[in-house]
Amino acid sequence: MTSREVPVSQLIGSMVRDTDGRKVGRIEELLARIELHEHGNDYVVAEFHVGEYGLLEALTGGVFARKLAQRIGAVVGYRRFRIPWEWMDLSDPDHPRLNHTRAELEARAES
Amino acid sequence: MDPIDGVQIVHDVLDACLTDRKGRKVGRVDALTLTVTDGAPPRVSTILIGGQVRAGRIGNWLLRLRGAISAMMHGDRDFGVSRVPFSAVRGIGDTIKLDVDAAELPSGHLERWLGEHIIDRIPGSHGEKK
Repeated sequence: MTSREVPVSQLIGSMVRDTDGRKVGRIEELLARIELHEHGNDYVVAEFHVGEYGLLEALTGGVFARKLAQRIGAVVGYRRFRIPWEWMDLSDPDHPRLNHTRAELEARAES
Repeated sequence: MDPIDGVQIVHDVLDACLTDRKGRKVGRVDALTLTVTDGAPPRVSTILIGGQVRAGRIGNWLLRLRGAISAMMHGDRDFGVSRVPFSAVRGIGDTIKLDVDAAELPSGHLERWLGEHIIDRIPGSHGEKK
């Protein structure tokens, strides 16, 4: 079992692709849950929140543009997926990948 | 979308103010690292405060400049960076409470140096009256 350190800043804004190489969206948020232990608490990432910007995708490299797109979400086709950690492959942190297809993710989001 | 049930790392933690166990201000969360292990959920492992980390958020040019100055003056590009394990977090609210002593953190070095060498020498800086 191998462990590696990954800066959160490296993940935020990164494009996530599915197993077929299709774009899913950019990582916007990490949701952590607390695990209580005697020696101290652990904060464990349970979900990755990934935003898809529709028509504005090409313009959303910057933080400001992403925030703006989220605000006017419905107009530009902004959509946010909650991806459980088990579905995310971070073996290459510069290119995070889903280990499922986009269709499976959409089916999960609708269920 | 379902309501959020947990800590939002970007919204709630990044940039948040930090206090030590005595309630003294330590700085802000300038960066965070995750420990990613195969077959296990990623864990938020380290808070990085000050120095190079802060410069890196402004731009790579400032990161390189500050690193070069630190290396020249202190022989260490990461001089002044505090690495606090996330297990030292005791509470997340308006501020993040850490179970550490601010005086022992390297990120406070510049403020301590400025306090001792400049601020303390300004007349009236200790609150004395004429």
